[in-house]
Amino acid sequence: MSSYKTCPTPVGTESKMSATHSVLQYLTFTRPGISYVVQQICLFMHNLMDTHMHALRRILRYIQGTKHYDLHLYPSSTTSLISYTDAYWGGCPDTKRSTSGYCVFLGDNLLSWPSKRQPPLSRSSAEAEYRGVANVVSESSWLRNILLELHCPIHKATLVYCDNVSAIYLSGNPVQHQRTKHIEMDIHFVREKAARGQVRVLHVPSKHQIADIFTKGLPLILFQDFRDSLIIRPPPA
Amino acid sequence: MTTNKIIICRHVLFNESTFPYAKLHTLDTNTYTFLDNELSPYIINHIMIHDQANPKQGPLILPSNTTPSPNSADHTVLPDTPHQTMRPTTPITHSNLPQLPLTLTVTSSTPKSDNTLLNNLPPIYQPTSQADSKPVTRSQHSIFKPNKKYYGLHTHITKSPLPKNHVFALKDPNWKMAMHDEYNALIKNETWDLVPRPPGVNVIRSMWIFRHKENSDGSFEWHKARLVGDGAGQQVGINCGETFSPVVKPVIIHTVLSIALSKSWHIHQLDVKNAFLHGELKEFVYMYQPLGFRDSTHPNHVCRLRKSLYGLKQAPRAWYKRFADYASSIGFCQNKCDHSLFIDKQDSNLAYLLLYVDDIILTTSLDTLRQSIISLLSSEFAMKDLG
Repeated sequence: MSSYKTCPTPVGTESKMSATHSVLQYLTFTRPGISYVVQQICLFMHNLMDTHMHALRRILRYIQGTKHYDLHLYPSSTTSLISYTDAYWGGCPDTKRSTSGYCVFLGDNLLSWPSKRQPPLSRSSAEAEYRGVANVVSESSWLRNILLELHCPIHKATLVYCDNVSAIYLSGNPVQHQRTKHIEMDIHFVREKAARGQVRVLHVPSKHQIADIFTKGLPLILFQDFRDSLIIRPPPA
Repeated sequence: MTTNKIIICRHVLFNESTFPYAKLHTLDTNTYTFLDNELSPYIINHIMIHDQANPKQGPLILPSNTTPSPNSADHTVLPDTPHQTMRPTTPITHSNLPQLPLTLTVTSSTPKSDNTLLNNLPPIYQPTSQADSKPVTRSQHSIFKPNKKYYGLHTHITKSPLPKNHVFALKDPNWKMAMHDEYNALIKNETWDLVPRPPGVNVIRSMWIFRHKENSDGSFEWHKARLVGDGAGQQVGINCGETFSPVVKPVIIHTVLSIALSKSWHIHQLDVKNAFLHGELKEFVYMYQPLGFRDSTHPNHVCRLRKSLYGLKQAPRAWYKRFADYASSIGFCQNKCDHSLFIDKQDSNLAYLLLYVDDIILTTSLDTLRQSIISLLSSEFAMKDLG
């Protein structure tokens, strides 16, 4: 203890960092790979601790190394909407709320990629995933409306890939049992959309679940693989 | 004789650093084929051993015969250069000099070597005066690299420091010119009327903002002075109403871009100059006369703003409304999902226009349609076409 430097106040103020984080929020428009961690930092902006500062510096270091990476758009068919959704059940260590993220593709091009902490607490992972599916279905129906107004309507059903089998069953069958009694009816609009043929919820193995990148930190190889799937690449030579 | 020889040696060294490698390579091969053909195996071995054993050995022999001190600095450079094989051959060119026993053995058997080698040598190998052997700096070749500290000073205008307030600014010719430009532009735009101050109204202050505008490479471009209103002095409900102004969502930008890409339409980016000054104010906003530009005949009058100024709370909304009205007048209709997306459908031709405050992305299915839209827009607002 005696070798420590003395400090006039017990807690530091982090005014400078708020500018950094708002810049990073802008950066997520072209760099979806960092949207999860930026969202996590934003949750704590009112009270930044040392750990968050380290995380912030790490983001900056990552960006420093990948400055030349960009989100690429390629000519592709505009007839199908595909979306991936994933949730990290109990992802927030303080509140035990789940983190959900999804990404919507038009053809091969990435359109939308939010990463968000779900407001209600989920009692099971299936419930968290089901909420994620509901979010992505509402987003994709908004996108369908826009595409309709842009005079290129989509006739095929939107494909929603989810890696939780129970959530898929919940979206297809009107089952109601002990564990799903508390799920509000407004989430069940997924069923209605699925019944009307606008949405199909399908299963995807976890190792191909691209939306994982928006819900938690990933090992390097998986991260690079998913980042490449989101078409975030260095510019072609 | 001895001084001549020193100079030649130095020039060999110099050329190794300044000449392209390709020439030296051809030299190497020539000398070696020559040696293979005509020299006895003993001499070849002699040279090769001499070469491999110690690269420093060859050149070091020479200074021992001649004046030592200036050479030693040059020779230390040698081992780093990639063409060390040159060295044993260089004495051959001076085979007539009797001081070197090692080179003598070579020359006695090869009288033709002088000519062939000399023909291969570049012209700089010719001995020149002593003065040329001084190190040549880049500035002598008129190669200059600008110091980054002085960026911006090389432009034709000298950069004035940012002034603290309008009093300091008016003393500086650069800033004074910038302020006059801005003031004249506002007067020309009929931004305000001078009216006697009505009793009991809220009058907002005005401020000058001074900026150095820079090019994309960070070099100084011009001085910019901008008159802004103090939005903090406005009272909501009295001299400012709604302030919300929609901007286009990134999702929409991606959607429109990918559609345009997949249909291989041309995408155009436009920038509206002084966008906020175009907005028309519905509310009555009074502002004091600009600092430093008080009207001498009516010193106590205030400005009643007709057009919006930067800094006012409703400036973005006024601009958006002005643009939306104009866009609908030239045939665009606003999208219901995102009000910053305008769509124009003429027969089978489509035009999408995205508005992000003063930046516009325009993409159309037909090039002629795009040209007509751009000319319509630029007739109404001052535009910068970014391609």
